[in-house]
Amino acid sequence: MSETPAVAETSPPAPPAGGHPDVDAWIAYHEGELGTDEEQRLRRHLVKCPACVSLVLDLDAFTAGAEGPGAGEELSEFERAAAWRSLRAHLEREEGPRGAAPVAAPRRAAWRLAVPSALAATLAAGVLGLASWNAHREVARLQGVVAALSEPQVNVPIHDLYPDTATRSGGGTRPAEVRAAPYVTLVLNLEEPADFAAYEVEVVDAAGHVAWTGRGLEMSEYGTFTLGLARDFLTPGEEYRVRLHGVDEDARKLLQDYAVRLE
Amino acid sequence: MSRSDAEPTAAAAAAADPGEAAERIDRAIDAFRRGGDREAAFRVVFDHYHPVVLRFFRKRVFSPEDQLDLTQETFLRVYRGLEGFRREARFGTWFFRIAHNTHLKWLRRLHPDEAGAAVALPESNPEPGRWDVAEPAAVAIDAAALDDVLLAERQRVLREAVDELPGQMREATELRVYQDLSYREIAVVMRLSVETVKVHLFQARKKLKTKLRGAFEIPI
Repeated sequence: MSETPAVAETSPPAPPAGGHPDVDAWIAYHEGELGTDEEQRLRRHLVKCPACVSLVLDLDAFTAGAEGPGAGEELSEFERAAAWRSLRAHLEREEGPRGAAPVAAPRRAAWRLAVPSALAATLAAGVLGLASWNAHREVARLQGVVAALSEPQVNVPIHDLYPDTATRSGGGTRPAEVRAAPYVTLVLNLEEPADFAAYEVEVVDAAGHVAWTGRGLEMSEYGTFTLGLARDFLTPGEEYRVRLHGVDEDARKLLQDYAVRLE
Repeated sequence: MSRSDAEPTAAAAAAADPGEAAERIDRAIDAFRRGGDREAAFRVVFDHYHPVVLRFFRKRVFSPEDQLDLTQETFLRVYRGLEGFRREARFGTWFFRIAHNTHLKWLRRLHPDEAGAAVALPESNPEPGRWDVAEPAAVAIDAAALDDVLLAERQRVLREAVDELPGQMREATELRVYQDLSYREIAVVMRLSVETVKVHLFQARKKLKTKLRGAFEIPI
């Protein structure tokens, strides 16, 4: 089959008359739950209707279990991690801290509970709304940061992290102070030479949450790894662990664990 | 939508096996509903579906902030509803319905009077006078105008030839020519295998070549 670009010379189909079938009809079509006549009717509609084709293709993307071509290119790992953090923060505000068991409130007379409850509910709704708004602004802001960081950076501070600021057990007591800058470069030095098929790095916050994961790190000819970090993705003053792993087939081994603190 | 029958992208090549991905999602849903480490379980769902949901809203919503907002809103609703998910439908279908409803709800909030209907474009010229300037009576027929006439004629001839193709072959050809779908997309839309689509299009191309006697290249 040729890939002639003559498609541009064709005119788009005329929109079908009689409106569009609803989403339930398309779900039933996609699941193969319709009779032959109805299926034919919907298929004829699709041939004339790019909007419904788009809907069916989206439905397929949700149900296929496979990511279609290019699906992974929508966001960088940075951006996706930021989106996750934003979502998690929202859920934590909604549900309370992770693992916190709900405590039963002592019984009170209904009338005594009603007014404070209503006030609390109103306040909570306001706080949640504000939290949601803030969380999304945060993601949008971080996208802006990513765009800005995509531009060439000048005078990027470089920090060499050596094993003496790190321990394999994760109990390092001398976190490296990372200078305040929009973007910093960390050079990870190993205690012992390593030889793995691939290398990954995790940035873990004090609570043990993985704030960022980077894959496909390449070892330099000096046996070091270079990692670019955007300050906006981390919280100043907090301590983080930068964990370098070696990966061989299914096995993943912690090679070094560096402690860093952002100024 | 775009054609993508050529080499798969690196991202696609790296994508997990669909069956394996589905099993991973299933395990995560079970873990979530059992009340284990919900965050870890939901992270699996998030990582898998985030590109899908974001793409869904990028096709429908202009503002990047709104796209992110709606993507997050969808995940929040999935999180809240996951415990009640009874597997009466496939998880992906259930998830899709939530994304679709989130979009509808947003549209209704945006256009309350139109109940989420698409905003109609004005039919009349919004700036009278700008495009209504009368052309001089004697306009030279320039080359561009002639090209337009030829293009329209080619489209008419092609349309007639395509209309004469039999059933599924015609439908596959129309989706390819007029909606610019890839083989895989045509297969999804027509609920056929990719191989069957290829056969239909191969046959269609042969028939159109004969019919049009090489008058112009067949855009399949």
